[in-house]
Parts: sequence; C-alpha cells; structure tokens
Amino acid sequence: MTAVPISESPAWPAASDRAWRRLKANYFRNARDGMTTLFVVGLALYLLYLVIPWAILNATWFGAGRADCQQDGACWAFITNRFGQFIFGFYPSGQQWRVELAGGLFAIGLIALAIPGLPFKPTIGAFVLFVLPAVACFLLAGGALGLAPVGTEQWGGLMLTLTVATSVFGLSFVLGLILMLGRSCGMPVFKILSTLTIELCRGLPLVMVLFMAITMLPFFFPSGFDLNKLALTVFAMALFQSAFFAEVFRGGLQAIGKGQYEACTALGLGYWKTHYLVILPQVLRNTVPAIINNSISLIKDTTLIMVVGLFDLLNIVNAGTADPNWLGSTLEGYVFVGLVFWIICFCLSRCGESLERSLRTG
Amino acid sequence: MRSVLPPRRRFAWWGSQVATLAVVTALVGLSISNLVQNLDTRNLKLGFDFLNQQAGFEIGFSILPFSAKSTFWDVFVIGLANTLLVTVIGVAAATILGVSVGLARVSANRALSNAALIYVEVFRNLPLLMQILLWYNVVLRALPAPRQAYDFWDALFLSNRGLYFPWFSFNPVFSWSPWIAAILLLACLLAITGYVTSKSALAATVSGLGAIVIGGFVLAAIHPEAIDVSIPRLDGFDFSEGFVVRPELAALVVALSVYNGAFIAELVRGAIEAVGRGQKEAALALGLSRRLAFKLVVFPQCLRILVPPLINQHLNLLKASSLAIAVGYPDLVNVFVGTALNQTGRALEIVSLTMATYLAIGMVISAIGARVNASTRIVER
Repeated sequence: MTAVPISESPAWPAASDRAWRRLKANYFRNARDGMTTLFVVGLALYLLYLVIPWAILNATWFGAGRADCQQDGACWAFITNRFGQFIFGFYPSGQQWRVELAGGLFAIGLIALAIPGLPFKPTIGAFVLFVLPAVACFLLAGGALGLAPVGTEQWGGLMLTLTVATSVFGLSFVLGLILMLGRSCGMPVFKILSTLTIELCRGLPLVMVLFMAITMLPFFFPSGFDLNKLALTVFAMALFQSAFFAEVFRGGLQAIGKGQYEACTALGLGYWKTHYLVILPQVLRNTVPAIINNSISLIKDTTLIMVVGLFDLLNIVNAGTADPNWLGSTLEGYVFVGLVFWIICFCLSRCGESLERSLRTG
Repeated sequence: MRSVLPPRRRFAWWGSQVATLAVVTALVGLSISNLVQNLDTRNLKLGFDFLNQQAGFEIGFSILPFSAKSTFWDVFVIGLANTLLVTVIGVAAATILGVSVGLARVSANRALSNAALIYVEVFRNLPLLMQILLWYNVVLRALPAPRQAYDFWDALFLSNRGLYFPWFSFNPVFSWSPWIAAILLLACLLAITGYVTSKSALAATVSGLGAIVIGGFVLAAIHPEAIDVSIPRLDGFDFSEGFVVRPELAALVVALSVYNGAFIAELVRGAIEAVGRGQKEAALALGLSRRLAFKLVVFPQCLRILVPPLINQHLNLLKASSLAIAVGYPDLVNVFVGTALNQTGRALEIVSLTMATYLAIGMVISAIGARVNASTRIVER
C-alpha cells in the first residue's frame, strides 16, 4: 500500500479547498442564496460608502460654529466644542473635580471587583454598594465640610444620566427584593401590598409614572413642602423599576426546589437566615441574565427624564442643537448620544455574559 | 401552617402584619388629610364634572372629528384613539419586521444572519426616545418641502409635512341601508360556512372580512357615486384633500416598530432554537421539503414558546407609545395628562382616569394573549 498524503486524500481536502467549500456552504448554497449574499454585501458596502466619507473623511473635528464645518461631512466640532457641557451639564466649572473624583472612585471600585482572584472582594463589593453612593452624593451635592453646595438644577449631561442610573439601580434592586419577599412570604397583608405595587407599576408607562410623581404627588404632601424634582424623579423611576426586578427575582425563586427550604428547616434556620444564606444567593445567581437585561433597559429609560424637564445627556444634546450657532447639527448630536449609550449597554451585556459564565456551577 | 407555629413565631406572624397595616393606614390617612388641605387652599374640589366643559384648544391630529368646541371627555376619547392607532400599526409592523429579521437570524446564509445580528444589536442598545427624535428631527425633516414633494402616480405624495394618499368617504346622499344589509348578510353566511367547513375561527373571520371588502368593491363598481374618493393636491404651501400621515405619527410608528422589532427578532430566534433539532431532522427524514418541515413541524412548536413573551413585548409597545409627547403627537398622555391637566389643574382625576385606562388596555391585551396561548397549547389526552 502506498501512503497517500493527507492533504491529497479526497476525504481531507486542501486548506484552500476547505475554505472554498465553507464559503460555498455558508454563502452560496444555490442561486437564490448567492443572490441574497450579493444583495446583502452590496447593501453593506453602499452604507459604508455613504457613512465613511461623511463621518471620517470629510468631517470637521474642531471649530467655533457650524460655519467652520465642511458642507458634505459631519460637524464633530459641535461635540468637541460643547464636550464639557455634555459631560457635566451646568455644573460650575471650578467644582467639576468633584464629579471626576466621584466617577473615579466608582471606576476604581468596579475595576477592583472585575480583577479575578483579588482578596477582600465581599468587603470591596459592600463598600461600592453602600458606602460609595453616600460619598458620591455628598461630593456632588456638597454643602458641608467646606464644599460649596451645588443645586440639583445645575446637574446635567452624562453625569446626571449616570447618577440617575446608578441610584435608580441601587434603590430598585433593594426595593425589588423586598417586594419579591413580600409577594412570596405567605402573609396576606404583605402579599396584597406587594402584588398591588408590582402590578400597578408594570401596567403603566414610565412617562405616566413620572408625570404622576411631578403633578399628583405634591398634592399628598403638606403644602409648602419643598420637593426636589430630581429626587422625586429618581424615586418614581426606582419604584417603577423595582416592580420589574421583583418579577425577575420571583422567577428565580420559583426555580428553587422545595428541598432547599426543607433542608434549611431541618438545620434549624429561621426565615431570615434561610433566605440570606441559602435562597437569595441562588436566586441572584440564577437571574443574572435577566438582571443585566433589566439594567440595560433601565439605563435607556433614564432618557425619559427629559419629559419632566431634567437635562440628561440626550436632552442637553437635543437642547444644544437648537443653538443658532450650531443649527443643523442634530444628526451629529444624536450619533454621539447613541454611541455613548450603545457602548454602555453593549459593555453591560458582555460583562453580564462573563459574570454568568463565572457564576455557573457544575 | 399558621396553627403549627410556636407562640413566639405566631406573635411575629400577626404582629408584623398588623404593624405594617397600621403604618400604611396612617400614611394613607396623612396623605388624604394633606390632600384635603391642599385642595382647600387651592379652592379645588374633586369630581369628574370638568369632563363636560369645553376644552377650547386644537388637537393637531385626530382620526375622530374634533373642534375647539369639544369637551374634555372628547379630548380623552381622541387621545385614546390616537394611542390605539399608534399601538395597532406599531404592533403589526413590529411583528412583521421582527419575525422576518428573526428568521433571517437563523438562516443558513451567513451574510443574511450577520446582517440581522447587526440590526438587532444596534437598535436594541439605543434608547427608544433617541430613536424617535432621530427619525423625527433628522430623517423625516430631510424630506423635500410640499412643493418639491416626491410624487408617486400623481396620487401619493411624500414631503416633510407628511405622507399623503387618496382616501374615500361615503356619500351620505346615497341610499346605503339595503347594500349594507346585503353585504353583512353575505359576510355572516360566508363566516358561518367557513366555520362549519374548516372548524377554525381564523378561516371564518378571514372569509367574513373578505366578503365585506369584496362587497365594497362590487358596490363601488356598480355605483361609483356612492363613494367619494378624495385625491391629495397641492394647495399653497401644503396639500389638501386625501389622507395625511404627519411626520409625528410616522416617526413614532417607525421608531416603535424598529425598536420592538429588534426585541421580537431575538424572541423569534430563541423560540426557533428552543425547538429540538431532532424535530427538523425527523421531518426531513420523512421526506418533507425544508419549507414544509419549517411550516408544519418547527413553526407550530416555536409559536407555543413565542406567544407569551411576544404579548409582553406588545404591552411594552403600548406603554412606550406614550413617548409621543417628545415629538408632539397627540396621544392620550400628551393631550390629556399634558394639555388638559395644564388647562384644568385636575391632576388627581386626570391621572387616575388615564392610569385606569392603561391598566384596562393592558388587561385586554393580556386576555387576548391568554386566548392565543391556549389555542397553541398541546392538546393532550
């Protein structure tokens, strides 16, 4: 018998041949398939042909007004010129280091949590969850320890978007856990109250809930009681989102077998210890994908604070396009906002996937 | 379970609930007393009598007749109709788009599936409000002015003031009753025959509606004077006659469909992938073509998985239609909770009426979903 080199045997085609076959199987199985491929690729090339010259080749990056920009390209000068305002809103320029410091602290905390194998992770986690928000609140609002007070009406831009997103996430996460426990604890009073809250919030549009907080809620407070608009908005959004978190957690709870409870009872654990040590860790681990999905929609929903007149990233860019000096820069503004949100959401979903993998138990 | 609790736990069981109830009651009582005081100082009183007052403002777009003489109740009804209009068109368009993209996503053709993946990843991760503003302020504003409008067959016009197309109205002078009676009778007969022969409510509905449409065409052919057709024509700076879809409505519907379509595409992909591969392979082994294997074996099973989350997505679309306020489309929240509330100051009544309406529509959609879900369920012995 003569040895046939592997690359020449019919069952094991050469590398180039294999690539060709794969190409054929994936893109040109038959005439219709081939035409579809050509159409899709042609469309993609045409879009690139439209976008690249506009966004990069003919774009103007710096300038003091729309007049400085080329006609047939993007006017990124609108973004670079007002970048500070888009990030910090109307925060006094001498005080912006406070925002940077707060953001930096969060970034350090999150990076520390993301490093695998770092010791004291639970402590760092608790610090990021409970201590940092208070520190950040104090840094941003000021008014004590020599920090000049900065009213919430001066907050804006990306800084406001992230502040609202993190505080709504923290509040609604805890509130969602409480509502979930209330709905499933078997005590009628708690069950009715939680179910009512959850179903009410889930059935209403967020715009409606925000309007309610701004127009109707003040009627229920003593007259002359000064309600901060931002605080009202954050509270209303947190209540709204907590209903969704509660339903997510309830789904995770239902996936837990009866044996877990029975084992806890046999060990002599009470209600709180059972939930804190055994049930909730499993619920949280099972619901990571849904929690991430909820967080992504929460971040996108922060743009809705536009309807109550707060200047988050989208609204401040939108308002900037009305400046006579920059008229006609709407598309550039929205592309910038879109990129920021898209990167945040995309990173979150990727982080969620890796978290899911690392939490998976054999 | 209560009876087996030890005395200490029984106390906790009752005590915590009674205490919570007491706190909640106290809070509600406090809020109500504050409310009464606030209403007193502002000289307001509760009640829905304001619904009969004249509204005295104009509404930009309405599918129902409206004038400055209409009451606040009319404002409510028109807002609701506009919300439902956006929801119905949006749900239909998002479903068609989402199912097509979802099918493209599982296609064996890599170019097609990657294009679908890019669409889903791009539009799912952008805020809906931004997308609505993008369509309204950038895409639709870039269309030419009415004088330079795109003209299709001299009947359809597209400009930055909207899309105009011919519309028909019924001539009130024409004697309608015998025709309507005849067409409805025919529709009923066909629907009953359809149900009896095929035992399917869908077939009955389709044949009934088909009879009405065909009857309408026959009538129009025999008596052209019965139906007035109005064709849009340029009149000064804008078109008149015909039916116009304003950019506000178009931007809202397009953005809602594109955004929700991306989510629906993911649902469709998940549902198709959840049907075991063996099902498709068995169908192919039985000699069914790929198309038939999908239509008869895979799709019915994937429908069962798809329906509950799909209904949820449609509920989301209904709620998201309230973003109309960003572009000034007069939906329920915009005209009623926005304009009418500003005019009357009746925050409590208006907000609670609108809340109840949204909850009721949500319940109706959920009930329809439950019916559909029940009809796709496996019938076991």
